[in-house]
Amino acid sequence: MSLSILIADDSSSMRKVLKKAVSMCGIANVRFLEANNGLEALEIAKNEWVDLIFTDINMPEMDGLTFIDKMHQMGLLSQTPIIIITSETREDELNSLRNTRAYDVITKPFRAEEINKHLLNIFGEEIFNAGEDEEFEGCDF
Amino acid sequence: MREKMKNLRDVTSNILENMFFMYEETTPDQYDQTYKYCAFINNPSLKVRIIVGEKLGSLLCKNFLGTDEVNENDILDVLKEITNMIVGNYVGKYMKDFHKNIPVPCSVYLPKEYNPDSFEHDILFYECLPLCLVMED
Repeated sequence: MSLSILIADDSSSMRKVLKKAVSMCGIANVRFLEANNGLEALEIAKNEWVDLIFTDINMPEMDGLTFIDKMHQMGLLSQTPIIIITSETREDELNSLRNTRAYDVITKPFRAEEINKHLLNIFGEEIFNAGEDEEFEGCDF
Repeated sequence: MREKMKNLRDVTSNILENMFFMYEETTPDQYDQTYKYCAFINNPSLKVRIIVGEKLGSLLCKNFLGTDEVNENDILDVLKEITNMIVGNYVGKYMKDFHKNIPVPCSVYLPKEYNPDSFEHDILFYECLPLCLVMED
C-alpha cells in the first residue's frame, strides 16, 4: 500500500522533520507533497490525490484554520484527514483546535511514536512493513 | 523577572533535551562568547530572544534535521522553530492569561561585537557552547 502525504508548513525544517518522522514509521511507499502555506496546500489537494495532510496553523497567505475550512467547503475533508501540528500548548487554544474539523492535533515537541499511532489509527496495520525489531522508539522531534 | 527567566530557562532546557537530545551542562571555565544568530518574538507582553553562535547553531540544526549537511538558512529556520516551541510551551505553562496570538518568530544575523550583557539574560551551555536567552518586560 502506498500513501500520499501533504505537509503544509512555512518552515522547511519542520517539513523535513515530519517527513523523517513518517519515514521512520516503516511505510513502504510514501509520496510526500509539500506546501509553504494553506493556499499552496489547497491547490495541491484540489489537483492531487492526498491520503493525509499535516498542517501548521500560522502560515502566510492562508493559515491552517482557513485551509481546513476551505477543504471542508470543497468537500475534500471527507476523504482526507488533516492533522494539525502546533507549538500552541494553552489548553483553551488546543480545545479550539480540537473543535475544528481537523482529525487531531499534535503539539510540539512530539515523538515519532505519535505520528506512528495516528498513521495506524487512520490506515490500519497493513501500511506498515516494519518488522517487530525495527526501532523508532525514543526518537523525539 | 528572575523567576520568569528561570521558567524560560527550564522550558528551554526541556525542549532541547526532549527534542534535540541535548543536555545542559555546567558553565565551562572558558567559552567562545561570539554570537551569530538570533531568533526572537516581539510582543508588548512577551519579548524573547534566543541567541547562539555559529557552532551551536549548526549543531542544533544538524540534530534537528538528522543530517550533517546544513546551511545558514537551515540554521535560522531551525532557530525560529526552537523559539516557536519554547515560547509556545512557556506561554502554555506560565502565561495562562495571555490570550493573544503568539507572534511568529523572526531571525537575524548578529554583528560580531554583539553583547547581551545590557539585557536581562541567562546562558545555558551545550557541549561548552553558549545558548543565550534574553527576556524583556
